Amino acid sequence: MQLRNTNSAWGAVSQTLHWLIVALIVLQYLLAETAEGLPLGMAKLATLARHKSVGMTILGLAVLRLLWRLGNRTPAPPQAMRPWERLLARASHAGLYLCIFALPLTGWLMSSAKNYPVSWFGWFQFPDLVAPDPGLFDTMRATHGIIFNCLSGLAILHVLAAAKHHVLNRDDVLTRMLPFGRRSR
Amino acid sequence: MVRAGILALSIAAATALAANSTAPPPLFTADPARSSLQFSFRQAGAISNGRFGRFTTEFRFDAGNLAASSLAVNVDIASLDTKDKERDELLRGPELFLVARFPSASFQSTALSRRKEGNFEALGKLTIRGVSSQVRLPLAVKITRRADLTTMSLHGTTVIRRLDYGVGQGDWKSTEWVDNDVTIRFDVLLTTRAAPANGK
Repeated sequence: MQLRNTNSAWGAVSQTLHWLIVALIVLQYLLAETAEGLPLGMAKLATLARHKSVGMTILGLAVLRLLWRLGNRTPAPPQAMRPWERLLARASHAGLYLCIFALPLTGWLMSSAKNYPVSWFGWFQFPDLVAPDPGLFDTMRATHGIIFNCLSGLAILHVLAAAKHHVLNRDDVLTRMLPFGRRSR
Repeated sequence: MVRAGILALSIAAATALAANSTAPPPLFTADPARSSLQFSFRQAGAISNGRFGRFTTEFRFDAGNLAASSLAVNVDIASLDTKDKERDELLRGPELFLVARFPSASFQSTALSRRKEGNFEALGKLTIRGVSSQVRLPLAVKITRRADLTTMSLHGTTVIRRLDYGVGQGDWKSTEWVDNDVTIRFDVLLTTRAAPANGK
């Protein structure tokens, strides 16, 4: 597998970014659920600190991913795909990209609005985006949740679409994103 | 006769001199609207700020008579504000400031000394959560005299360790997620206006 994408396959960089972000989003969900059930205290502080550090990592990876995508060719969709299917694929991918930017950004806004600044694993501190504002915190918290629900919905659609391509269409849409995937049959 | 006169004069002069040097330095009191007492703490690797909304500062100060000068600060701990009500409540609670038992913190100087131009140092007793410790507070003092009103701006920053005062019980004794060091910064504007005209 080569680093860069080709017309028919995702390169190593794209695949790594894709799967790393998937894994980190699952971790983020688990950390958020853990924190949600805790009263304000040391454990909650620690869990949310990790959630925030991982979130900023995702934001960084999302930036890299977008730049890599813009500076690379994108493998072409299978010839058999109809125009509306292509449109749906494009729109849902755009939605997924939007979510991986909007989730960390609204989380960062939540932190600033609540006056709990964001640190990256204690190594450095990000600047606050806004001044403390309890009203804005509530709005951002709700928005963060809504965006997560959108991401979950899109991710389910994404997985179902990949399964459909693999099982029904028998094309290489799924396998070309798998590091040990078989090449197109 | 002449000797007696000289004696009387010198006694008078000595008395006047003594009276002058023992006159208490003027008392400056803080204008709450133009004063701030802030603290910053490192929580989960990120520095957050808070402030105490209510505190009093009484500074008896004469740069020429530091021996008689003294600084007293009293802080209403319940007035703390970190811009998050949940955290403020936690800070007031039993594991941190225990405001119900220790509603105030105080600083009382025991000695003032001169540093470089306009800078002094107050050695004194800082009491937080019922625990006292000797600290040195750097003081940047600037005095402006206008007619009968004398105004003083007082600034300083110091770092204290919260655990020296027991601010952090249970989980909060750990410094893994909340640092021991807390930076205190004060910017106080004082005037002699509120002081009685002739001292005491």
